[in-house]
Amino acid sequence: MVIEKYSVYPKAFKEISEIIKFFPKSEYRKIPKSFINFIEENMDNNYDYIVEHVDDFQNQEILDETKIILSIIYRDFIASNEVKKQIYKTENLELSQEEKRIREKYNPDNMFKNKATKVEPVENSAAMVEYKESIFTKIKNWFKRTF
Amino acid sequence: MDDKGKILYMNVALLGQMNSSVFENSIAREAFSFEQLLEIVSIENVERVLESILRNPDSRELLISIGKDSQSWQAKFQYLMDLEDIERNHIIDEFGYDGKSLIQEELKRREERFVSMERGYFEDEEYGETFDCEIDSYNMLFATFGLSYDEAKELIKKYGIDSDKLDIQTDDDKNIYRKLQIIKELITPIKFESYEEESEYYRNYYYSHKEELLAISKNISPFYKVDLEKGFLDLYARQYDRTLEVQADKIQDVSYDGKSIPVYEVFGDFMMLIRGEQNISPENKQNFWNATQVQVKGLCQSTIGQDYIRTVNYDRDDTCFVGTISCGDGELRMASTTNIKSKEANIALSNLGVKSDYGNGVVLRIPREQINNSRGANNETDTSRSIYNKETRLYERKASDYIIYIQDTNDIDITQDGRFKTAQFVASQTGRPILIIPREKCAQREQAKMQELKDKLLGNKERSQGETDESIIKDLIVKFNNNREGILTSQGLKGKYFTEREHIELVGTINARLSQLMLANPEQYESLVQTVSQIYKDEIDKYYAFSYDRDDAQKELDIDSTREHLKPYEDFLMEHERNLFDLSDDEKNKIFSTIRNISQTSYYDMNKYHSLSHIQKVIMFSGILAKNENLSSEETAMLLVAAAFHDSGRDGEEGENDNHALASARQVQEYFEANPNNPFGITSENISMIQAVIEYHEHKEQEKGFTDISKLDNLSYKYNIDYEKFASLVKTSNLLKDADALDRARFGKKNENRWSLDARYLKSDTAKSISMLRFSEECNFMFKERENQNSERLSEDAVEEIFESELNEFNRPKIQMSSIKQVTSEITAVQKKTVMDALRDIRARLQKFFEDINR
Repeated sequence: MVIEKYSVYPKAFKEISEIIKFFPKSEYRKIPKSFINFIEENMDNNYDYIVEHVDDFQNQEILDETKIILSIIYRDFIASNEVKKQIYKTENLELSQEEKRIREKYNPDNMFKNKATKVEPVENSAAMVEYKESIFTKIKNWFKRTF
Repeated sequence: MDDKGKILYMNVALLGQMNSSVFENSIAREAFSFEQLLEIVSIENVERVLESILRNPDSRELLISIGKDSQSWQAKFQYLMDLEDIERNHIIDEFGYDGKSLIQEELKRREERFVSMERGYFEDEEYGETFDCEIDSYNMLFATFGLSYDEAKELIKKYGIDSDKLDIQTDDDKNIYRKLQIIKELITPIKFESYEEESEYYRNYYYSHKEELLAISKNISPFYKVDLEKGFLDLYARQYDRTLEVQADKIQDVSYDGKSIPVYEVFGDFMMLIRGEQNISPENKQNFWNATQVQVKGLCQSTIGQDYIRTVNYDRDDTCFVGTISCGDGELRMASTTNIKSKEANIALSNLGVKSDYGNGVVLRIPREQINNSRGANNETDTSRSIYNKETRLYERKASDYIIYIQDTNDIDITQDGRFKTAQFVASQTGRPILIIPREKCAQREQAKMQELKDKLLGNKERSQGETDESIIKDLIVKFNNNREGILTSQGLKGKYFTEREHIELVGTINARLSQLMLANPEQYESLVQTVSQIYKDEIDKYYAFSYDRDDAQKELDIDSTREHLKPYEDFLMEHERNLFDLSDDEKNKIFSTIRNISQTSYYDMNKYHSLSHIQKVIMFSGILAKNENLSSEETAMLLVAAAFHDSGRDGEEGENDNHALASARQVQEYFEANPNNPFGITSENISMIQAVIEYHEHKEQEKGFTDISKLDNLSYKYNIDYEKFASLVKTSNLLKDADALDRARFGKKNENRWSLDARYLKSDTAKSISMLRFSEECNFMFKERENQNSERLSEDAVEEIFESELNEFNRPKIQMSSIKQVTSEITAVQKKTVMDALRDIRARLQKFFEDINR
C-alpha cells in the first residue's frame, strides 16, 4: 500500500529488504522479526533492486531514506551496547542543540527584539499585511509538520 | 641515615640476612661490596652457591673479577650458578690472572672447529675418535661465538625482533649489530629442496664471511657468553637514549615548603620512561627514595609517548610518577616485555638470565615498538634502579629528570589535585622540576593528527612526501590502538576519545579508500587489501598475546570489549580470505557419512568434554582442512576416520594424557580388524597410518606450533609406515591436531572461546584463518543452543542441519558493518528522528486502515 505522503518509503523498504539479506547471520539475527515483517509487508515489490556491490558497499546506489533507515537499524539493533550509548549520547546532544536553535530562531520575542525602531515609510499597506501573514503561516505549518 | 648520622629508615627484613656466614668470609668481603653481598644473601640458593664456591680455595681471582664489574656482576654470577659443579670448578681452577687460561682454552676450541669444518671431520684426541664436521650453521655458531644452536635461538628470540629497526650510529654499535645479524642469519630456517642445496648454501656463506667470522671468534673474554649478550643489551639501551625526548615549556613556578619549584608542561610529541612511586605522600615523611632495596610495585619503568599515556598504579590518589629521558651512562639492567604472559620481567638477580613461566620470556624492543605492541599490558622496562658509586662503594638511586604529574582532563584544577600535591612534595625533596603531561590535550592533538591522516587517505588533503596508502593506514590503525590503550586507565577520557564508534568509522574510512581503488585501479586495490589484512592481523596478534586466565588480566583487560574492538578487523579478514567452505556435494557427503557412522558406535557414551558432539565437530573441521590443505582423497578419508576415532579410547577419562591416544589407536585397530567391510571404506592398508595419526594427536610438542618430526619418525617405525608415506603422515597428523584444537571453542562462552586457543600455534594456514576460527565458534554456539533447547544429544539430522546452515552462511558474500557505518556516517540525529516519526506515522495509519476495513 502506498501512502502518498510517504511515497518514497516503499522503495526504501525494498532496498532495505535486499540489503539486510547480505548482513552476516549474527548481525541479521539482531534485527527484530517484527521490524523485518513491517519492511517486507510494505515494500514496493514492483521496484527492482539488486545489491551489486557487496565488497564495496560504499559504491552501492541507495536512496537517502534507505541510508537513514540503515543508520537507524545500525544504531538500534546492530551496534554493541557501548557503541549504542556513545551514539545516543551524541545524538541527544545534537537534538537538544537543534531544538535550542529552532527555539531561538522562531521565538516570537526574539523575532522582534532586534528589529530597528526606525520605521520606514510604507507605500503599500497591503504588502505589509501579506508579509505578516506569511510569517505566521510558516510557523503554523512548521508545527504541523513537526508534531 | 641523614647527614648527621641519624637513622631515618631501617629495613628490618635485612637484619636477619646479615647473620649469613658470607659476611665473615674474607674472600667474599674482598670480592663484593656490602650491598652486593646483601643482594646475594637475599636469595637462598644464590647464597648457597656462593658458599660452595668459597669452599674452593682458588676462587678468589674469579670472584674479585666478578664483583668489580658493577654492570654485569649479577649476570656473571648467574652464569656460574647455572653451570654444573664440575664445569664451575673447572672454570675456577682455570681462571688464573684475568681469566687468561680460560680465554686460551676457548680460543683453541674454536680454532679446532674452524679447521674441522674445512677438513670435514673432527678428531677427538681424548677418545681417539673421528666425527663428521660439516660446514653448517651449528658449527659456524660454535666456532664463531662459542654458542650452541639453542643458545643462539634464545638470543635472537630476545634481541632479534627489532634488529632491522635499530638505529646504528657508532662503530661500537656496528660491531655488536653485525654479531646479532650473523647469529640471526645462521638460525633463520631456510627451506631447501635437497641436502646438496643446503650444503652448498652454507659453504658459500662460510667462505664469503670467513675473515669476519674468524675475527669475531678471536675477540673473547672469560665470560664471553655474558659479554656477548651484554653487548646486545647495551645496543638496545642506546636506542632508548636516542629516542627518548621531551619538549616542554615552563609555565610557572610553585612554592612548597619554602622552596620554589619550576613547573613545565609537555607540548608536541614526546617519549619518556616513567616510573610509579606508590608510597610517597605529603604525609609520608620517609626519605625512602634514597633506599635501594625498596620493595614496591612500580619501580619498573613504562615507556610512554604522546600517543600512549598508560601507566600502572594510576588509580591511587597519592601516586606520584618520576620520569626520565635517559637510561643514563650505561648503568643498565634492562628488560622489556610486550605481553602480559611474561611475568618475570623484573629480574631479581641477573640482568640477562630471565625466565618466564609462560614460555615467552622477555623480549627486547626498541621504544617505539614497545609502545606499538603494548596491548592489554603495561609495557615495562626495568632499567637500573641504582647507580654504583665507585668512590663510596654504595649503590645510589638514579635521579630522575622530572617529577611527573599527569593531568587527566583539561578541567582538573591541579592546585586541588592530591597527586599534584604529592608531586610538589617529592619535587621539593629531590630538587627536580615538575613536568605536567596534559593527557586530554595530548588526546586532542592525536585526534587532530588522525583526522588529517584520514583526509589524506581519501584525497581530501595533500599527502606529504613518502606517504602512501599503506603507510597512512598503518599509522591510523597503530596510532588509534596506541591511543585507545593509553587512555584505558583514564576515568575522564575513556569513552570520550578513541571510542568504539570512532574505531568503526575509521575502519569504514579505510573501506571507503579501498572502494575508491576498486573502481579506479584494481591491481592497486588487491595489493592494498593484502597490506590492510596484514596490518589487522598484526593488531589481532598483539591482543592474543595475553591470557585471560590471570586474575589481574580479568580486571585490567575488559575481554568482552576487547573482543568487540577486534571484530571490525576480523570481519575484514574474513571477507578477504579465500572461501574455505565451498565444499562439493561429494565432499560434504563423505564428511556427513563419517559423522553418521561414528555416531552409531558407543565409544563416546561415557565422555563429557570429549563426547560425540566434539567428535562430530572435529570431523567437520577436518573435512574443511583437508579440502583447503590439498589432501588427496585417500589422505582425506584417513583424516576423517582418524578424527572419528581419535578419542574413542578415553572411556570417560577427560584429562590430558598420551595414554588415551594410545588406547584410541588400539581401539581403531580392533574395530577395523573386526569390521573389514566397514562403512568408513577403510582397508587394512590404511589402518597403521590412522593409528599413527591418532597416537600423535595428544603428543605434547617440545616447541609449540612445531611438528615433532622425531616423534612422528618413531611412530612411522612403530606402525611400519613406508618412507614414501611419511610426508602424508606429517600432513595428516598436523591437521588432526589443528581440527581438535579448533574445537577448544566448546570450552567457553561465545566470543570468549578464542582466548583458550592461541591460534598462533596452529599449524595449517586454513586453521589459523579468521574464517575457520569463527566457523568453529559459530558451530559450537549452534550446538549449545540446540542442546539447551533439547536437553539431550542432537540427532544426526540436527547435526547435519547445523553444519549445512553454517557452511551456507560462511559461503555467501556479506556486507561488513563498518561499511554500513561509513555509508551512514553523515546521517544526522535530526534526519533519524524525522524518519522514525514517519515510520511510526506509517504504521499508525496502516493500523487504522485495516481497522476501518474490518469495521
